[in-house]
Amino acid sequence: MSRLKKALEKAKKDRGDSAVDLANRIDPAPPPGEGVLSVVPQREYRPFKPEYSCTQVVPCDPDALRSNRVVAVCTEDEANKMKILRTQIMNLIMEQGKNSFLVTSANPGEGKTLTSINLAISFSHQLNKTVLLVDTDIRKPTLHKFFGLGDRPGLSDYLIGKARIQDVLINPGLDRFVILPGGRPLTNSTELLASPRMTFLLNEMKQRYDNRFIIFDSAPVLTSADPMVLSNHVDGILIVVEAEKTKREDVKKVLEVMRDKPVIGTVLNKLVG
Amino acid sequence: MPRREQSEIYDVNFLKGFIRRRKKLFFVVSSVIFGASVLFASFFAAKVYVSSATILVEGKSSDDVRKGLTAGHIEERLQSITQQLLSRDKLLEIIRQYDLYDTKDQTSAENAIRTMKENILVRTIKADDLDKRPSLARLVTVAFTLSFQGKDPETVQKVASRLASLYVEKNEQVKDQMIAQKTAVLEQKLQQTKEEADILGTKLSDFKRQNAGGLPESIPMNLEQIYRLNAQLDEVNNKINALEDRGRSAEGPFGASGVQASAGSGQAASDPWARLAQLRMQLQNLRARYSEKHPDVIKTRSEIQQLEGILGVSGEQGNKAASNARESELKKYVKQRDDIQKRLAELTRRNQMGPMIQTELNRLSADYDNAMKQYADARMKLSETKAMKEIDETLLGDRFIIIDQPIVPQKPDNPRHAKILLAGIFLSLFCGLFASILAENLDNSIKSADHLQRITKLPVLTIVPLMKSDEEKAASGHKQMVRILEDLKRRAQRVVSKGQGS
Repeated sequence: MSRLKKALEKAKKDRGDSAVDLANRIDPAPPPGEGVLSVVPQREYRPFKPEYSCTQVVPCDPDALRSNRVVAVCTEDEANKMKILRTQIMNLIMEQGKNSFLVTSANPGEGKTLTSINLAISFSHQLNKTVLLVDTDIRKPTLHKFFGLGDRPGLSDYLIGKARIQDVLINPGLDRFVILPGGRPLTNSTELLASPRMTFLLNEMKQRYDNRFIIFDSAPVLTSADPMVLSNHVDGILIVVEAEKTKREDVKKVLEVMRDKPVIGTVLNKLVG
Repeated sequence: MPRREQSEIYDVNFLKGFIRRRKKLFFVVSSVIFGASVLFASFFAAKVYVSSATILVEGKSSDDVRKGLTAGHIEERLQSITQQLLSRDKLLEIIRQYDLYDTKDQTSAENAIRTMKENILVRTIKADDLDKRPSLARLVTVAFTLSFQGKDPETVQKVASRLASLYVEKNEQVKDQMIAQKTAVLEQKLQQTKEEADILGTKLSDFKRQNAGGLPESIPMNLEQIYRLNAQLDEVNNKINALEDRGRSAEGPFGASGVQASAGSGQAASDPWARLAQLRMQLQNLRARYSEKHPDVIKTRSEIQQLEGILGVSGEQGNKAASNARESELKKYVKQRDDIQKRLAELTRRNQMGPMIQTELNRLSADYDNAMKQYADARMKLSETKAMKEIDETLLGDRFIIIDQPIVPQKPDNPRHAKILLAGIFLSLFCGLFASILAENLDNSIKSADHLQRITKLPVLTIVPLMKSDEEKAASGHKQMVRILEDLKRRAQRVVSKGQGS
């Protein structure tokens, strides 16, 4: 059994792991003056509660999360599905010491963002890990809407130099979970994502803390080159396929495009019956 | 789990998925097609107006005599009238009179006649015969309806009226024709049977004439005649014998008449010739036994001489004259005997032929009787038919009476509506199913994890079921209906409150 699993089991034994409890638990705002990157992880096997110094804490409305189908606050059955996915990804990526992966799909609307959020929250339920969810679909950013957040600066603002990183990171009120919204919609997303500033940010995010897990919510593969650019920097790629909608040809095209990339598997989403 | 079971589960799931995925399409397509068929049946299918006349057939079972002609022939007559009315010329006349259909050229005229025929409907109304006797308890036509259908109600009514009156007129004509035909046939038959009877009568009388004496009634008379002729024959034979005997006695001096003389002494005593012959024979016998001097011989010789002296016969001269007389008398009797024998033979032959003549006579008589009987039958039928004709002419026979005049139909009557709707139901179900199957076949989306794994050859890390947000859940099913109703209720309340306020 892996170290992480042991930690998970111990934590459950100590306090009882409940998605709803975690969702409703809003930590107090971290003291000002500290950057997000200065979160001090505690390496003991006890609930890890980072104190955010620079990251803005914007508590989300649990009703908004529920209505947006965020499984962390929904039923146990739905949350279990995400735990299965989380476990599989952990087996595939984290065992190898890697900590980032990209969630993409063939076409828009297949459930990338929601899968990313649910997966991220599921990861955050692990007591010794923090999760950073990045909305890299800066043409049509939607991540912030799921948390009931209004238009606010995000990744695009950072990449064009209009905002600092500490101004765009948000803790939505869940432990060990930070999101980086997409920011203002921009059309030249591919160029920005391929820019040195983005490369710097990626390296910084991935390497600064070893217990952080980073999930990139990306634009669709068949409508944008963004996933191709990002795929060079991530450790794994997860392809979301919408049941009864995504066509076989589209899936094959995605696999063709991602031929040499670290695709780890697929998620069959919105399966009815 | 065996492969077969997996396949079955997959099939069941596939079927469930197919129904779930395509039910909307199925209902939409079916509804559209069915709606279209309803619209077509209601608005676009030709509206047809029907006008009907009811025609009563009166006086159909007055008596047994009439029943033979009328009751069984009403349908036949109806058929005949219909055929005559539906003749090309008559139909064209009606079509042109009411300008029903286009008859400009040959083809359109043919089509118009065909359409007209299709639009004329004759339906017989059957009821129990009024005569309830078991032998006659059967269904006969007592009335029929005559309908015409078309697009214009007024024209339809006019045409139906015209057709009804034509039927009544035609009935009279047909009735007359039928009686006339029957009379002609019977007359012909009567003539024929009369000729046959005449021929057979002539044959019979000829036969009787030819076999006048051989007829059965002549046999007793023949027998009596035979008896009589036999008696005559005996008598003639006796006479012939006597003559022959006398001839023989006359030929020799004593002749050979001694035997005869002794046999018939009574006769010889009365007849001197016979006595002479007897004596000659006696003398001859005595001479054989005695000498010439014997007293008996002498006595007999003297008696002979005495007799010869009396009779004037002396020697051979007397004998010759007597022989000539005898022979002529003998010839006469022989001829008489031959005649009698011939007549007897003829009568015997006739009596023998009697049975054969009887058979032939019977046959001829039977033929003649039959012919006469047929003749009598034909004559009776003819007189009956003539009597029926008189009854019909006095309007006591079958009459067609229009009891319901055709009226202008107010509402279209189209029995095809039901058929169109039924066809619409089947067509809509078929189209719905066809569209669903077609959509399913054209849909190449990924429907299961196995499917996805086969295509990508990558592990399917998890399957996330479709999750509905609260709004989506609320927007589905009866909740949506409840919401709509509540909304309507609120609006209604607002309208009411506004109305009260103003």
